[in-house]
Amino acid sequence: MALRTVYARLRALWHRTRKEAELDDEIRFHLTEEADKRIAAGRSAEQARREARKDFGNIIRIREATRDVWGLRHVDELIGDLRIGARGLAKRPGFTATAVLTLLIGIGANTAMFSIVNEVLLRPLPYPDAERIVHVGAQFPPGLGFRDGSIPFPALRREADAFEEIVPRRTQGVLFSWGGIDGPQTGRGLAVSPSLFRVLRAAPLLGRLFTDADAQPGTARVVLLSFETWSNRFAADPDIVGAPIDLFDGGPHSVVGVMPDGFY
Amino acid sequence: MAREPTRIELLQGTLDLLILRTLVFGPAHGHAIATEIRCLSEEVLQVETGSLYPALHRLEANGWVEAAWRTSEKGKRAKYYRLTRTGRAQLVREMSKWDRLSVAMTRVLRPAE
Repeated sequence: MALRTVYARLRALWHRTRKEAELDDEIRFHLTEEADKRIAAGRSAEQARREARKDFGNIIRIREATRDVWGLRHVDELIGDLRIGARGLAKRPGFTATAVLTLLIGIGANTAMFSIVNEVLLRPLPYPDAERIVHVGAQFPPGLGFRDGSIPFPALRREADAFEEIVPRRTQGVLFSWGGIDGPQTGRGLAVSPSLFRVLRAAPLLGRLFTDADAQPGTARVVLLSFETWSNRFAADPDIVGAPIDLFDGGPHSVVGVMPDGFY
Repeated sequence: MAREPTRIELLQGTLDLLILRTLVFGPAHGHAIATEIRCLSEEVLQVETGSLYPALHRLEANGWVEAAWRTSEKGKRAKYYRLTRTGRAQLVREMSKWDRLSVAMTRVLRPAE
């Protein structure tokens, strides 16, 4: 289909240049005839050619005026084609309905698909300078990784100077309990380094963020609550900062802050 | 060939009619058509090439004339225009229109005659 369109365009182009070449031939013939007539009347060949040329007028303008005529014809043909097309469609309502329906479904599906892709893939992250944030995924062979310490993260951070900051992260399911609620709760947690907040340039709603001091071994373990968790599981308790919560797989932690709504 | 002072500019829309009329004698190329019109009008009507070629191509686009490349009497390749059947019909229509127009013009301009 597309190939045929290209072919048709090329043919039209070629057709057009051929027509123009023919017009040039036609004009050249006219000039020769006119010059011959003047030579017969006793002029020198040079003078005859010059006079013929002068009498003819502005060749470029004449060529343009003639081309305009072709242009008008193309428009006429186009209008004619459209009219024939419309008449044909009106004559076959079943075919027309099918075609229109096909187009509708096709366009609709595309629009829906684009809306999803736009939302999920194309829309920038809701952080400042989002285009400078990249996500690097790595598949470590068994026995190698940050978790068991075989790749020392502080060294990586020192060496990889293409990046302003590097944030290692690990998602995990979290089982936790807190004095204010009954029984253990489940949630989704993200273990991150304090540099995350420098990358995302986020500010807490309550309390404070993680600091580099928190990342030192042997210090108290701390958690930040998402706005959602804070309002759903902790009843939006304004005094939550400083409260101890118990992570079943990580021991006692204390809440140092709550992130604002929309931070994820 | 000096320009005659008695030459008259062609009226708008009359060139097509003149071209079609000229082609009744048989196929002709652009230069011959212009010469023919000038001779028949006894040098009064001067066909500007600037209108002649657009007009010829317009007539061709309308299907009133057909063009073909042929060798002229002097052995050169030239584009010859030939009147088509619809061109003849158009000529008849335009001629009767012209007759009515010229009669009406005369009536207004010379009411006494």
